[in-house]
Amino acid sequence: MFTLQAESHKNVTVLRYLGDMLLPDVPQFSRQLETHLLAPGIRQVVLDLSHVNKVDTSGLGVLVSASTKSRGHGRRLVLLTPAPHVVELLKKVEIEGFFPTFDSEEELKGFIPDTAD
Amino acid sequence: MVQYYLRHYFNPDFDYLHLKPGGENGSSDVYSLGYVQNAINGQVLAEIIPLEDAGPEPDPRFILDKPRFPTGPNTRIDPHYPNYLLAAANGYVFYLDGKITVKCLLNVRQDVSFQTGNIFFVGDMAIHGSVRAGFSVQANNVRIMGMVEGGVVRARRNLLIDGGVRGGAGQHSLVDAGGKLLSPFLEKVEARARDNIVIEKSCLYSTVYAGASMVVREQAYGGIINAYGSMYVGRQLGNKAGIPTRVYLGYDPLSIRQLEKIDHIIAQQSQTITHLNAVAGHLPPETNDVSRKLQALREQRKQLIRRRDELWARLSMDESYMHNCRLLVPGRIYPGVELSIGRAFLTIDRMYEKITCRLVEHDIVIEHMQHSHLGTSQ
Repeated sequence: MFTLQAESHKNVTVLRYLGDMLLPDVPQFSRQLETHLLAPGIRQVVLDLSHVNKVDTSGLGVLVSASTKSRGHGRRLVLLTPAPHVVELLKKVEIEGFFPTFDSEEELKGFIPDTAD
Repeated sequence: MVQYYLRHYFNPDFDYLHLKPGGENGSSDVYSLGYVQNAINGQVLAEIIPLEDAGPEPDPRFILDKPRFPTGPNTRIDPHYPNYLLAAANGYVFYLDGKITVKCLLNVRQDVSFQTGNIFFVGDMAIHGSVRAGFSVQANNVRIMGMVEGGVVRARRNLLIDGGVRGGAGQHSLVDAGGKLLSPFLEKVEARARDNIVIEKSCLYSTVYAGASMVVREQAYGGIINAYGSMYVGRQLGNKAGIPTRVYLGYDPLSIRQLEKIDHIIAQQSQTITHLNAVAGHLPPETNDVSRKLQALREQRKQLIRRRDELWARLSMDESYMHNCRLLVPGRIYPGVELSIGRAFLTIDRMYEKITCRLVEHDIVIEHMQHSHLGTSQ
């Protein structure tokens, strides 16, 4: 089970993920993430992964699939402060460099000033 | 009879030969064509659901009489969730002879250019052509059989470039390897590797960060070379014209890069703070939006400065390691070369041949190369 809290900024949506990111969550998470990524006027979606509980590779697969699809539409998925066990899993499946990642809210606001408003 | 539907989590009709630019409202992003459909080990590729849950107009091609997946190579069914088909390896997913298939090696049998767009891939990639100006490529291990000319290439592991790397007209080329980087030449580019960098011929006017050692078999001049370990230049370091060539050894280039990044953000924030100060510097922090923003920015900058100081502190812990760093030049080294090992600094004031530079106490000393060094390249 999970919840996705959305904060809208100019051209950017920040999504805060709370809960598990496991195989049973895939259909719903996949749908919701793609809806945000392909929403009109959005250039990038920042996904805050600091409050993810349990995660498996099917959950990360949603990120890979959504990121690939969004790149095909000229948009990008950016990760924000992934929790240590998420970072661990990203490394384990050898995709830690696949996503642009911000390690802190300060870094995010420095690079995407719209998110500070 | 009960019927089922095969719901896909990738595009089953994907055709890399007929890509269309992304973009909306009449805009067109020719760099984002989505050349490949990535999948990682464990990713859901397809799901079998009852036909009645498939929505109003299910695709007749994917209506099944029996709940059976068209499983191909590198796919698997999780016994705990038998209605999901998963990828069993990192790669790209597509239909091959009616089976859902994942392939780990992506062969791009052309240049990376307007036909392909940028390519971001989770497996290994072999590009049989060149990476053209303005295009980006990212994968695990990457081999480029042509050149990189004004493009960006990132490899999670090793990066092998057969044709060399050139800055191109915009002089903006970046190659970044998580492991080793091998190329015949670098010219007006930025190159990074967490492991060794080996350049078969020349490294000219480039900014280089090597996480281990740097080897240039022939000549290197112009630009900045950062290496954590040692540097070897076979024939010539610097040139007769005295082109500034800076070599920094002993500091972790990754931390140096991070410091540069933080410095950049701090500089941007300082500029904004100066501007906001003029408008709302005299007001208490909670007066209006501008004063609140000013307060928040000051706080962010304070934290970044603290992080920068921590990084510098970590860098200075490496100082005992720096005594192992060497600059080896069995050929010639010319004036114009500046060498730093840790905090020690040396400017080459005349031409030398067959020398080794190393740190003794807190100074860099130049020594004539031992005979045993002359036959080796590292």
